[in-house]
Amino acid sequence: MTWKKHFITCLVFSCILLTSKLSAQEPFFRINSLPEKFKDCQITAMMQDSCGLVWIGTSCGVLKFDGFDFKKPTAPDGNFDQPVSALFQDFTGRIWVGFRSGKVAFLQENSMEFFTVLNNNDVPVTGITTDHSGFYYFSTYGNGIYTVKNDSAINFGSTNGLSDLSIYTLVADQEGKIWAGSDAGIDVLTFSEGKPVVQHLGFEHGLPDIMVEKLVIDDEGNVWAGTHDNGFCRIDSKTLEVSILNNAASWDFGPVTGIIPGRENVWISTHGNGLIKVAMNLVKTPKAFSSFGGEDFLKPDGLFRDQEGNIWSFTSNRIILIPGDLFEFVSGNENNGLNNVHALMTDRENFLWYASEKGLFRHSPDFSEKEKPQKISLPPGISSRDITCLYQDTFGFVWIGTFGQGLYRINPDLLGGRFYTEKNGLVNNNILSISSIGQEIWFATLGGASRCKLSDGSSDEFPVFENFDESEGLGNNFIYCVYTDKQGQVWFATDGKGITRLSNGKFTTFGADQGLLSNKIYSITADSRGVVWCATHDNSLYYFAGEKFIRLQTRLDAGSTISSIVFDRKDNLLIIHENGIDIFNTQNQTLLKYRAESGISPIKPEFNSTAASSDGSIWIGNGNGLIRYSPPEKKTITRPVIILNSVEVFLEPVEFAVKNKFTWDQNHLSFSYTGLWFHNPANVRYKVMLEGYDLDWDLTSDRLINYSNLPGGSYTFRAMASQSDDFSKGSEISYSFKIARPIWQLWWFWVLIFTAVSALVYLLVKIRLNRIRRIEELKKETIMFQFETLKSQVNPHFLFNSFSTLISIIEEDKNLAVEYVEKLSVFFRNILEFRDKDLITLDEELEIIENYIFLQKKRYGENMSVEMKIADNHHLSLIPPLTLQLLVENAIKHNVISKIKPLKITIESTAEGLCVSNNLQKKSAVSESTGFGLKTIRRRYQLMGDLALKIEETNQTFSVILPLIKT
Amino acid sequence: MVRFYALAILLVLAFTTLAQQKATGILESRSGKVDFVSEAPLEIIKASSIELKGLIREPDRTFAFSISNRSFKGFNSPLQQEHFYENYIEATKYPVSTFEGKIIEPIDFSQNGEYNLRAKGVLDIHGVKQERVIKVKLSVKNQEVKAFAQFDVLLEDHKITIPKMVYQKLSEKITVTVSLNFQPKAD
Repeated sequence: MTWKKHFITCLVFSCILLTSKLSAQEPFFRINSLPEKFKDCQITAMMQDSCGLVWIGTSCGVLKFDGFDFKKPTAPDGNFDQPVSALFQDFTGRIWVGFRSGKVAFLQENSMEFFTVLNNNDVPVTGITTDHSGFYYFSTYGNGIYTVKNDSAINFGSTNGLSDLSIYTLVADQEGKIWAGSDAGIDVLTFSEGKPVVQHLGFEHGLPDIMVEKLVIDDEGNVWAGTHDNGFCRIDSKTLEVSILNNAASWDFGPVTGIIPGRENVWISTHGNGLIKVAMNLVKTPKAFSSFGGEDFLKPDGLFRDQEGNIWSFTSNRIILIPGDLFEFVSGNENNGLNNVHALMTDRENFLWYASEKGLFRHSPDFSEKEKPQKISLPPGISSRDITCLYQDTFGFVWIGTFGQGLYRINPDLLGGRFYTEKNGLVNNNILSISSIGQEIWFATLGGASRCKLSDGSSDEFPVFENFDESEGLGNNFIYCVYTDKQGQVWFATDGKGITRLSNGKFTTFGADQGLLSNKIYSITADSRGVVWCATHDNSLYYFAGEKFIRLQTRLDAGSTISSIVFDRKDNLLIIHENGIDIFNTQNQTLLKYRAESGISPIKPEFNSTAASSDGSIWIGNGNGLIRYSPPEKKTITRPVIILNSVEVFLEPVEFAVKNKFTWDQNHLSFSYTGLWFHNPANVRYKVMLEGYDLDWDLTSDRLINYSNLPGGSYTFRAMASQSDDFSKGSEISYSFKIARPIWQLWWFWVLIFTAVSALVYLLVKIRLNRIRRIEELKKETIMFQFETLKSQVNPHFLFNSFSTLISIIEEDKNLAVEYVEKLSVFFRNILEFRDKDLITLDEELEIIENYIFLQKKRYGENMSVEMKIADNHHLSLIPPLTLQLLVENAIKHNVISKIKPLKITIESTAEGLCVSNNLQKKSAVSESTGFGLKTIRRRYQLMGDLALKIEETNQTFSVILPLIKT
Repeated sequence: MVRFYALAILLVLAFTTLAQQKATGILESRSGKVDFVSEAPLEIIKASSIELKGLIREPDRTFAFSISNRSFKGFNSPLQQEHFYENYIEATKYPVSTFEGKIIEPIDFSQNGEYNLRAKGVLDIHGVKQERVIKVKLSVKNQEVKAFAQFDVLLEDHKITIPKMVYQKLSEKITVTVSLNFQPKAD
């Protein structure tokens, strides 16, 4: 999947390219535009659904975005590709889309459908909301408000007390009141039994402006209103009291198009001045405004915060994303002297002191492009490059620790100062860290630690230094950091001997035996409960649990030395290193990394160059300038949410929400899934497994997996996503399905086959038996026939008649008599010759019949005639032996033969067969007519293969048609 | 008796005029002037028209204004004027520019005083409609209403394209100044 990787690289590159240069104090942001496919679409609305997907309303329909792809939801036709004017998700999770055309659609089982209950025409739908009693509300720009419940819609307009029919924005508060903003202020609708009571808010109620174009509900249920000309305000949803949070008269940022409410910071999108972050810590007089986004982003149309805490905004063709909303950056320039900040502190007025290559400076916490810092003059002999640490004591003196030059203390009025070196009793001139407990100040040096106690705040006081080194119980004399905790204990981070603690005047050193596997300690801090944490030179973190240090198991992979660790006031631990800043949430034990995608890489932080400000923010000095961290405003999700995008069978998508059974040959399945992590989509990795097929989890960065040739059976596809390779508490998807076994793997199929084969064998045996029986029968028949024929030929009548004829001939014609006897003998010889055969040729049969006729003619003379018409092609046809002879004999036997009534026999070959016919002149007294002859012939033909004789009897003729068997 | 009749006639007259005023409730412009200025690096172009006409309907605060695009006079040369008519504003195709909408703030035109109001409406120039909110200064003095407004029109917003050759002579942003006098419509 190299093309995919290329794509991601391209995405990252385009993000970087689109990032404008930071100036003044700004968050880092990334700008995206819609892909080529949708480049003509203008963005009109955006929101995040409860699953985490981002929905984008455009001038050509709605799109969903998972951090990688923009996709259209499935729709039955193209009628949904029209300008969107409102997006909403209800309590059940259903997505609603309002269109500029006045129509409303929703997503039903992943497919778009129009909401036909609402009969709003022509004017745009500007807002959709719902309450807990099942009512839906639709605001329009021209037709007022519609309420819908149980498939019936009611329209509310001016007769119901609505101040304006053109509504910009609609929200429902937690009590079910509906708030509608228009050019006439705000109408608050309370519905009782479907009828609204309207309370109107205007100038007289304290609204800064009556053109209310944006309404947003905050977490406490209060309503924030953004106006066209005078900024924004907050309205208490119970008392309807309006609090103006900015100086309305001086608002010159333009119409408010979006608000992210907050206690500490409020984000506002404006038409004309881009995005604005308003610090709320100084109520009513916001101190810091910073607008950014550049020329491209002066007219954003909306704003929201996602579940990860990222800030999103959009213009008609751009989407801006501020990852995390935690950091603001001040980069070094000619004015502010922020080049390679290596020491940092905040003083009692929250002003920032920083030492950089350019000098020592004091600056207000709000950096703007024009403002210049105050340069603190240093006494000759001290270069700002030598400054290692800055510290303000309780009396307001600022202590400057240097490398090699000892200490310099600046008076609170900044007008003078004093040097302290080894000559004055300081243990060493290389100061690395300063800390204090009340009036007791501790100095960490490369030659041990010094302590001095201040008695009063006069600048004349000359402190006395008490010194401590290895001999007093310090682990060793190289101390990187000194930290004083709330219990009055002093902790020393040593180079090579772990941590030494001074508690109740006693030094205790903690090393490998106490759990500290690394003995070089760089940084010490403590959380709000007083638990001490430290960072070691091998990039591990330890926390102190009573007597021992315990190593944090969470994988950090900082990749470079941790230069400082510091807690924010919400107990998130900031881990600062060259590759970025990692934030460890001590409550849910999760680690979030902020690197290049958040604008924090690479930075060159100096050791312990951080400063906490009384407003909760933490300043981090680094090679590029300053980073200001503000604790997250809201609880955010800390892991990607994984969703199943599609299930495909042979690359054809299936409706996986309902379908989970497949036939045996639908066994090539593809699963596509995404871990939603807009902060850094490319960083998400997945663990996938097909239960019933895979034996173990598979770790992958691909968002698609194929399984081919799955055998029949039950399976469950499972996938998890993580941005830190820690899958322990991540979200998971699973999809269970069955593939049917092929028919030949089913028991009943084999039973069926067995039965069929048995039946076949039985049938074959039966047929064979039948055939054998028939052959037997045929044999018996033949034998019977032969016997009968013989019997009839040796019939005494025939012989007697023949002999009588012979006697009469012998007298008259000797030669004829000889011929006669010869014919008789041939006749009998033929009978003997052919009787064993089943079939003989017609020629052979005709020879028999000719002999027979010759014998009979001598007896009956002219009274009997036989006519034969045999077609040439029939001579070689086959016939059972003696058949013709039997028929001719029958004709002679049963008919009168006299001079008056001669017998005429015709043997003729026709298309039907061989026809033997005679004129019918039956004898009155029939002798021995057993009908045996015909029956035998018929039976023989039958046994030979179901051939049938045809017997035709009329008054005049009797004929038998024999089938001729072709050779 | 004569006095009684005279009084009666007077009263009737007074009532009818009052009734008429109430019935129409319309303010009609008596004179209206529009100036525009284009301040480009190489040239400043000014033009004006006195043919702006408009009405304000008092009860619902709606208004409508219209001006003939060919009524603008001034310019730095007749050729420039011709260019304006034919190439930029395309007066043959789009003979008028209009602004129609509603006044946001409630106002009582019978009360003398100075008012800062916002007029929201659709500005139609060069056939391209833009929704605008324009700030207006209004002064009422004995039923006579004077209005003054200044606003910017971006050529891009109204799809008026200028050739690259003259972009140094014609500003992207045109500043428009409007002043009007109204009186109640009496008929």
